[in-house]
Amino acid sequence: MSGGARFAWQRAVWELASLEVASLVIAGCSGNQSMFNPQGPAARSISSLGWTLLAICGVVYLLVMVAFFWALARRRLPSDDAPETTRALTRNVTLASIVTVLVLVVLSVASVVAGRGLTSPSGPGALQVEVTAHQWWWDFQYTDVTPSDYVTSPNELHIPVGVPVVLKVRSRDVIHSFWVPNLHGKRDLIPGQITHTWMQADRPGVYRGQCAEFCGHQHAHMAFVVVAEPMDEFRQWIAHQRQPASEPATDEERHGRDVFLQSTCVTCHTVRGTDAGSHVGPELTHVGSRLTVAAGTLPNTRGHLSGWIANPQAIKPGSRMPPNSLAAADLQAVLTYVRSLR
Amino acid sequence: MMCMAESNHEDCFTDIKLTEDLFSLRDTTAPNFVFLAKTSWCGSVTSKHWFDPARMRSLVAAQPRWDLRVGRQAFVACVVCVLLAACEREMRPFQDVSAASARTQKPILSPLSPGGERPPEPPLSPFQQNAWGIAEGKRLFDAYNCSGCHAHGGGGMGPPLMDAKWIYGDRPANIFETIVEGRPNGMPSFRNKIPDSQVWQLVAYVQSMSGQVPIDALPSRGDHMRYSTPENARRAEQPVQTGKP
Repeated sequence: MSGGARFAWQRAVWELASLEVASLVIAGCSGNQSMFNPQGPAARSISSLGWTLLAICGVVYLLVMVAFFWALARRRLPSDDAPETTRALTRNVTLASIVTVLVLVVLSVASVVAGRGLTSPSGPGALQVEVTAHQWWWDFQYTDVTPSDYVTSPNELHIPVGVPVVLKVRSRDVIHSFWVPNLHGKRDLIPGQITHTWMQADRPGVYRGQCAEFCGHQHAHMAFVVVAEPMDEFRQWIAHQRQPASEPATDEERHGRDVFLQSTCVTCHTVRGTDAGSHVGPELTHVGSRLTVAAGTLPNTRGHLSGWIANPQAIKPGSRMPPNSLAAADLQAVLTYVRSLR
Repeated sequence: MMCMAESNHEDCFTDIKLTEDLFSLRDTTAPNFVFLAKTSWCGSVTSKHWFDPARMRSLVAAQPRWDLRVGRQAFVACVVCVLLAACEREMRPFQDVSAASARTQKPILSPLSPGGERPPEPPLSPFQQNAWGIAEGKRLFDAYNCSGCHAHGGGGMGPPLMDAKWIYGDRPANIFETIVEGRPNGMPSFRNKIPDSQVWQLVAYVQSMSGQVPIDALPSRGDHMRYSTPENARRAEQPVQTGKP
């Protein structure tokens, strides 16, 4: 290989690498589930702290690298051992140490100030939601009303825009961590310990959340969505969620409900308004209206739901839902029924 | 130098020059030789006035090298053990069809069988030696509210499961049948309500409560507060067939 060709090849690799890094950085700044795309007051203060840290540490890093390479490249001079040089060096090192300490103090103060703003909500909480983490799904229960009006919305947290929502979080099995990067920082969920956090969204949108503490086989598929909507839409939503499941309208839906109630589904799931009342798995009273199935793993379409019911272990190996060997007609009927639960 | 850093016998290796002399005595690789020097040669020299090159040479020359060989063999054995330990990992049959379809081979509970000789029964249930399956059984035992009557195996409304007594048989097939078909005086039938693979997990856990499965597959702790001795610390019971709980 000639020298010129090798040079061109190296340049191509270098360009490709910098393109990769640049695209990764840009992707991290703009998208959903990014702390650099804040959509609420808490996330904004986390994001500005992040940028501050990045800028200051970046400048420090550059200065240190410049000094390092300058020291490597510099030749020793005969005057280096002279007392004047040593004295100047002592002065410079002292100055640099003072600047370092000052920078660290500034960073600590910035961090404490940002942290103080995160611990308590920006105003009186409009709503309280109990968050329970399970291996590997999330349960959200709206508990600031009389218990008969409690609403459970697994893997989908609806919140009104512009008001703080207080979240009471806990875990049923192992340590999880609740994290919606666009709205707030992480909050660890320790079994046997109830903690609180809060979130506020400034504008309507769908934000993805994710378990941020390794919690077992399907930790990566333990996601949820936060749907932020205007207050009147939120009220409509929660009023609809308080309704029991809709009655099956067609023969196929009726058959599907019968299959549902006579098979293994009923042992774990709740459909309010029917005999199914178990709380081992997520509630299905309004499952047809949700955006995702299997804790944010798949979009909620008939095909995905069909695959999930028939063999969840092919989609999320190790998840708690067992394979269901239903006859084809029964499976289709169950699908129609479950999709009708809107 | 390595020897200097590691040696506790200060009397032996106070002089770097001596060690270097030693290296020049034998044409061998340094670490092995240090091993030899540390283990055997050093121990034999106790006097303060031991610095005698002639005596040193004779000692080193007379030293057989069996300890070197044993040391090397022990090291290789350790490495092999560590590597082999990574070879076998317990399988977690998440979608094992054989466990799910085990129901189709109906357990034989009567000594009478049509057509003469009856086929031999599999001695083990699918999860009897599987720690994951037993732990899943333990989780399901609470999730499906078996504890509601059997109270974590101690017995309440239903009979205890951690003692030696078995009313309807102690074999896996008997327990499977008890769960799926139910039994008189209160045990409900879970037919079509629990998938067969999970029933087999429950069977393995029920067996584990009285120590009927290998101890290394037993759960040692649960997800919740402890309510009794951990399964792997219980005494293995000798099953007794009885009509009374």
